[in-house]
Amino acid sequence: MTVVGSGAASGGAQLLPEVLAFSSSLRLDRLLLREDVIGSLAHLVMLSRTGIVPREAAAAIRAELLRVLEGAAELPDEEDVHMAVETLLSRALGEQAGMLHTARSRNDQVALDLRLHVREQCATALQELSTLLGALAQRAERERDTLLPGYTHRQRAQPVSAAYYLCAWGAMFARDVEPLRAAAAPEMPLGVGALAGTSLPIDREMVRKLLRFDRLTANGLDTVGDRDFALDFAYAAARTLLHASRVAADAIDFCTAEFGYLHLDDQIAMGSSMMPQKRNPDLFELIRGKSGRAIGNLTSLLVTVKGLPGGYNRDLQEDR
Amino acid sequence: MLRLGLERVRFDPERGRKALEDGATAATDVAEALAQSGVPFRTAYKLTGALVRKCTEAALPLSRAPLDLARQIDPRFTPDVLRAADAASSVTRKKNAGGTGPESIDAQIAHLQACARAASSAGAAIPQLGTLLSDLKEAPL
Repeated sequence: MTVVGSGAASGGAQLLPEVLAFSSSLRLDRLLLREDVIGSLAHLVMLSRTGIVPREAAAAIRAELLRVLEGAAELPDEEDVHMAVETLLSRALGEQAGMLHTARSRNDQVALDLRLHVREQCATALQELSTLLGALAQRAERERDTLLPGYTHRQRAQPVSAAYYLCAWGAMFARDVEPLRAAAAPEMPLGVGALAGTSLPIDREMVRKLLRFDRLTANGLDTVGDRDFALDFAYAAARTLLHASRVAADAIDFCTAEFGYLHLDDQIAMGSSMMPQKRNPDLFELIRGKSGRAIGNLTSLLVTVKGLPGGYNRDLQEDR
Repeated sequence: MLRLGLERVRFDPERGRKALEDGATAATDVAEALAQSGVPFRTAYKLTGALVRKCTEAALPLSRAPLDLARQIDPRFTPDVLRAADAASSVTRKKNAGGTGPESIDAQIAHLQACARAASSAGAAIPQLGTLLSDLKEAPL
């Protein structure tokens, strides 16, 4: 990293305030605070066990890291969450705080934070998907004898049951399970430093076990510029929401007087500001609308990564 | 959100049934019944198409097509063939895997339930940040 912040660690107090404001990712980074502290804790445990950092210093830093996570102090204005945490540690512990960043770069640190974040999001998405699939199966069981037309070209085509529709919707989401599971970032990036590793006797394998990743990343130059795991998640999420948008489109049509196969409960029917008779399917329209955002996120990340030279490039800050 | 929404919609079987009749949606089933009685499918398809047009002219749903009307088109129409125009039997007769028949629906529901369990255990197998944090708080230095 050549751009230096105003923080204690970098000593770059001469940075223009406008440049700091332009370059800061702190606003979005706040969402990565827990991931950042967890990564630091694992790194610290390894530094202590390998004798790179004395145990007493490690204990003091760990206690302070946990205080930062509890929100004891407001995160100071820095370029990113990593420097903000380091500044808070330095205020509390002075020079000793600087031991934490031994054998580490923000490049491998952010790669780890984002991987931890994606992994957690995959777990949440898989549980949501599980509940949705269970609900569709249960509803299908109850709607075996409800008949309605299946459509081609949006023209009535052949008789099907509502159960068949529900199973068709479920079949789309069933396909989303495997891509989401596979997107759960299995490789541990920490320890590759800025790009080439470190001459200090670290133990990446120990950190991998502490953070419960399946394996280590293979090459530092690749690791710091790799956002494939985030692309995989963005694609899996976009595809799931694409499916949701198609279900929503059927639901919206079927709620109209022209189709009439579905009726909205009062709990979800929305009114109009002018037309007193309206019962609108806003909930399904919003689901359909929000799916566009997921496609935008995927496209945006693809374009960010496209054509980047090897190693870390600050463009990648746009991955959040 | 989608789940919350879908749990709060109610199907209208009457509207569904009406739409099925108005659309002569079981025409394929009638053609297939003819084909099963030995009429080549393309011929059966054309004969059924002619029957649908006659029913439309007479303002009759296909499921109530009179046998004599059908026989004016072709003598190979039988009461059994015309019974295939019933929507409910159309759904239950499609016994192939992935079709609308009851056994296929059983299999599809079982598949969704299996995928729900797979998704849940895949999610549970992913290490949680909360667990990592409490482990790392206590991890020996």
